[in-house]
Amino acid sequence: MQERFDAAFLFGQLGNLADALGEGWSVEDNYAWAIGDESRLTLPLPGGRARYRLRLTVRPWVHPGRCEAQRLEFATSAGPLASFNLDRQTTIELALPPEQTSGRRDIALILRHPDAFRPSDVKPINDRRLLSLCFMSGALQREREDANSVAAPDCHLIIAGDDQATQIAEIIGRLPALRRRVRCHLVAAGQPNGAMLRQVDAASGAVVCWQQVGMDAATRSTLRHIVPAGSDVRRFPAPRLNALWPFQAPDNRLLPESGRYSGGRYPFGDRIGASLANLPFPDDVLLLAYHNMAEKELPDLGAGLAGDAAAWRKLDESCDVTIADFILDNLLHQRLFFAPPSPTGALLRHMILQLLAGSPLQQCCDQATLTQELDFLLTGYLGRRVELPIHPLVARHFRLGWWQPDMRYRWHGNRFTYDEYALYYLRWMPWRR
Amino acid sequence: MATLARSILIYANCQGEELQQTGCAMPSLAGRLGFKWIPLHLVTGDDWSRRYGQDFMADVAVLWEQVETGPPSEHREELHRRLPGDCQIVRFPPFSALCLWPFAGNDPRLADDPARYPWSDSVAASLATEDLPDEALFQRYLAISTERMPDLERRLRLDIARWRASDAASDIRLTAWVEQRFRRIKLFHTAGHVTAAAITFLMRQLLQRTALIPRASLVTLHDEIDMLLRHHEGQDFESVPLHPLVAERLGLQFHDPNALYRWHGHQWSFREYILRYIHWAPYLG
Repeated sequence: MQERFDAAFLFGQLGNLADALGEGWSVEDNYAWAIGDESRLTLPLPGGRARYRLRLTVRPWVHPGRCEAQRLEFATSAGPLASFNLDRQTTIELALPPEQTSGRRDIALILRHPDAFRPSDVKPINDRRLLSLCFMSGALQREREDANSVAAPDCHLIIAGDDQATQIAEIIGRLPALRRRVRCHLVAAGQPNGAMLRQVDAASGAVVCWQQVGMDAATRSTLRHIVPAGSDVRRFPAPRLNALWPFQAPDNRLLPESGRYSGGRYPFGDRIGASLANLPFPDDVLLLAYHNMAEKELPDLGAGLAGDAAAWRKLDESCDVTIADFILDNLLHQRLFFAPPSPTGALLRHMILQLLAGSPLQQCCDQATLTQELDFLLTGYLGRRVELPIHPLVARHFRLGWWQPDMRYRWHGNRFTYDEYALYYLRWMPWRR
Repeated sequence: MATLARSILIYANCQGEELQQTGCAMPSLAGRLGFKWIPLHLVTGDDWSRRYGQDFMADVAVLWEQVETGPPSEHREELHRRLPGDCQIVRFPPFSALCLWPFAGNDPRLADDPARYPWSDSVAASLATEDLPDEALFQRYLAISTERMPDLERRLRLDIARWRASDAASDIRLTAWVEQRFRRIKLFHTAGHVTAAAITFLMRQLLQRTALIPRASLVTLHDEIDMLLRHHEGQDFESVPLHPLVAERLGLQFHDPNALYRWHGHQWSFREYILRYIHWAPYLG
């Protein structure tokens, strides 16, 4: 991951070094050529007493048979600093002398490049500039005394479960505040992980385990071996929402299609769609038939939601993370599921905050920072980009505040309206990833 | 599994992968015609001996070859040495549009972390070390980028000159098609990634020029392309938002200031993207 820079330098007319380039430059929009034998660069400094390293990304002007590499020497008025021989685009690094940077606002650098030659010498073009190296960007970075040491993590976090656990692991693994403090291990259902077992055994820090309920016996057995006694273990649910998709049912057209759709073409079956599948109607008539039948056969949606709520409450009883009240309080004005088994960022956030609350992970950083980072990371989260369209009658029944009649739903690489998806489903049409 | 009788080999940048995936999903070609892709920007010397040997080339009947200006690379020469003798070659240009993202240039963070935000923005990069609240940072970005906005008509003329140079080396021409449409419909997600509209046009043109495709089947094939790509987003996994001033100056009619742009596992507004770029923020997906 990126170390923080103390200054970023962008060469070129559109960059931020217009006042820094002295003699010996030919400036273009996004870069600057060092021309002739010598160039002058007065580099702005952030001030302070820190020791700095300068990094510059440069590309040498080479031509087979004429010049295979460019020499580049850095100096100040006090003497030489560093020299390079460059045959390809490279990010070079040199330490700046502290006696010339400490407390100063800038440092005057002399760049010597004795191998410059003219493009017109080797190509049928009219460019007679004496080019040597193209300077693209640069940065100042503080010297770190512990640059070579890798600190042991404060915590090992084991997350076990299926795709939902994978998503939680991805989210935790990308929170900057936990970076380097927490080592995250995923135990995918049914896949024991010996390498991880050894790593966790050797850990000196705390071990935290987040375990999805309902996992198979083999995964539970793996966890028993990995997680030391006395570790902070929390159980979380993998909730489903069925009420928004009341026509779910098996479709006998659904088969794995090797190389194209390993889980089948349309994995979420629709009994209305399946029953109309082979009718030889034009598209508009077929859609009309679908909607008419859906209206007639719409089940009791309230009962469907009550069934879901009962299942969530049962999960709450067996988990440390509770979800039933949160879903029931927010479902109508906030999107919480992309598809029956697929929570959105809002529901994942709710679960992760509960998993973090009071756990040893929270001691790695303050709660406000973690929440802020979580919100920043989850902005616009699309999950797995499989959104099952919601029938307009269902959306209107529940008065879903976030739903729009012309809403488009992501389906892998596609975006469908409800009717477009329904027609593709009815006709079992192939789609592209 | 039975071996396919014939294959079309696509030698191209990542736009070639779109052609390959579309071809492989076309129902009427399934089992009759295969599509293979050699990514010209990734191929290495080892690949020619390990992956693209005689077995790979044996069934290649047609090469769809994306052209590059300048002398042919050693890989392109190697490809031509390996083609079966009677292989038809159809040359096509790459889609590209540098003028839509005028601050694409450099970012020192790319040296260590080239994949996180590979479509650089030099103005955003220059703000990377600023310690400001997000709203102030975004306003600063808007102010600097407005002040430094280059002459976009000149940039467009440069793009058109490049498109024409590629067209001149190709059997298929894109310049007029792109010029007529790029203001009305979105054709580009990044300077080198295209929407489904562009892939549809190119796929149709290539099939039309491919001798082993019976003329009578072209209507069906065009319908299948339409079915596969009508609702497809193209190469949107990294969709770089358009600067509102770029949209205004170039007269981009399709531009919606409130549009959300996909970035891997997210969709963000222009402001959300720029702030995340400045912070070099991690993301999901």
